[in-house]
Amino acid sequence: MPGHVTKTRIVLAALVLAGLASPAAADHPWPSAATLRAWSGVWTGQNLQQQLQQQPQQAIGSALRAPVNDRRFPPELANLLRPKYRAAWEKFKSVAETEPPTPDNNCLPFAMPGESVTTNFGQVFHITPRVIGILIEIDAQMRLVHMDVDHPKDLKPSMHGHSVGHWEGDTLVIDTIGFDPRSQFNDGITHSDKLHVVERYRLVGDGREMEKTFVFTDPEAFTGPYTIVRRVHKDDEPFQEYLNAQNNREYPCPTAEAGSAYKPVE
Amino acid sequence: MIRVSIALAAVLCLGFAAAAGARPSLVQPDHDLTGVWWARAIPSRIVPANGATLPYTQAGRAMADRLQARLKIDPQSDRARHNCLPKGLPRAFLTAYPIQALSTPEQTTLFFEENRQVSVMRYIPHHHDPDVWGPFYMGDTIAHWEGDTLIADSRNFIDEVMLDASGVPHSDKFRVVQRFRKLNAGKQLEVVATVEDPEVFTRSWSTRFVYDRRDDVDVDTSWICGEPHRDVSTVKQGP
Repeated sequence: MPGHVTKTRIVLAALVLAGLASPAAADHPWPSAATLRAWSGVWTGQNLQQQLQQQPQQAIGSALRAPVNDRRFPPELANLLRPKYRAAWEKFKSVAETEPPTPDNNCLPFAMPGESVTTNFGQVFHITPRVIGILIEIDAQMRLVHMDVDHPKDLKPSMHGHSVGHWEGDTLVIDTIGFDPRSQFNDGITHSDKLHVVERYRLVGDGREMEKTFVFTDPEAFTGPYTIVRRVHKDDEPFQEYLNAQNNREYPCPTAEAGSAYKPVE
Repeated sequence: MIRVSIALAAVLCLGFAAAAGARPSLVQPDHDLTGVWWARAIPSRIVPANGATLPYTQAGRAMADRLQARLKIDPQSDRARHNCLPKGLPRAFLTAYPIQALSTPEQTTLFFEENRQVSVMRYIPHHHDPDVWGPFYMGDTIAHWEGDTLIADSRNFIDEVMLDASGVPHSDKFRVVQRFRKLNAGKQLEVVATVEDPEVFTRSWSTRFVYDRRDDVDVDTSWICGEPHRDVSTVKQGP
């Protein structure tokens, strides 16, 4: 057997075995413990000057880009809506003058994608070897990001969707699918069960700021991908329990007996 | 030649895995409760670990009678059960559903699948000023490690929190100290909760919960009241 064939076999076998031993982590090494410790604390946009900054004109295909730190979903997103979803959004605006009919106003989880994009409320990253827990102050919600694994094949749709993550250098990349169509962008913009969200989180500046980039793709609801960038900072205030259900008056909360009557505006 | 190839491949494989697959843990193993924990059996009401009855003061007994009478007339006033609001502590530990624990250098957080309840146990020395912060359904909790035991002190609870579904009351003097410890080489988690409330009870008393580690289970974080949840028929529920 020629020598180069043998070497090729050895390398191929090693790669296969390495893949079995540590499937995706082998492709995406983790940052050092010292780097990860810098992610501690509560991250929030509160009290940060919410100046609108135009993004540099980086090309992400033909994707629209939203300004940094615009707390709400910019109207440009509506330009991407396909007719059925645009009509639902127009109808939502007409009925949403006081308490908008959103999941959180009906005591459902505030939920992805709105919860992560909104910067007012604190987020705490629990970085552990198998799962990263993102605790979100509004409605005391938890997202679990399963690290270095694939999405399961038989996903049950849920308000937070199913998230898997990996590290690219010092950037945490989260891929989420499997959304319950009742979850929504927080301005009444809805989506289908085909919504796919890719998030990229990285520390910037002196390490007390975090940049969060979201790319939303939903071929059924949007004509193209949509990118939003947010910046939050490390806050010294502690995490607080904040529950919409405590204050709800306008809209009914679900009950253990009857479930939820909430439906997005259609 | 093939055997040599496989041996070399194995060596290379270990090298790749060590270099690229390392996932650093930020906490030392004996200060780490991270994992999914699920009870095999839960009692229907809270009872002291020694089997004694709850040591009510006279005022506490009267509070319990009033609360339990109200629950009979208006069961929906138990909003933890009716609207899936957080149950508070230690009632949250009476759950047939799994719990996700996450330990970091700053805190250990418990996420209870049932009712999407969160208990944040921060490693700080003092509680927040109750005149400024709270009250909270899940209380205000500070924690510290003593050896391999996490000791968490929770207080400043919202009035409507009951210690169990039968209507065990509390006053504003209520605090619950929880001691978390892994058992059986980390296969189980023990929680001993000690309740103190001099207005309601003549003395402090403790209750104990044990959960199995379940690496095969993913906790669902999207609980919606009244909608189908996971099958918990294997969890023994009773007195």
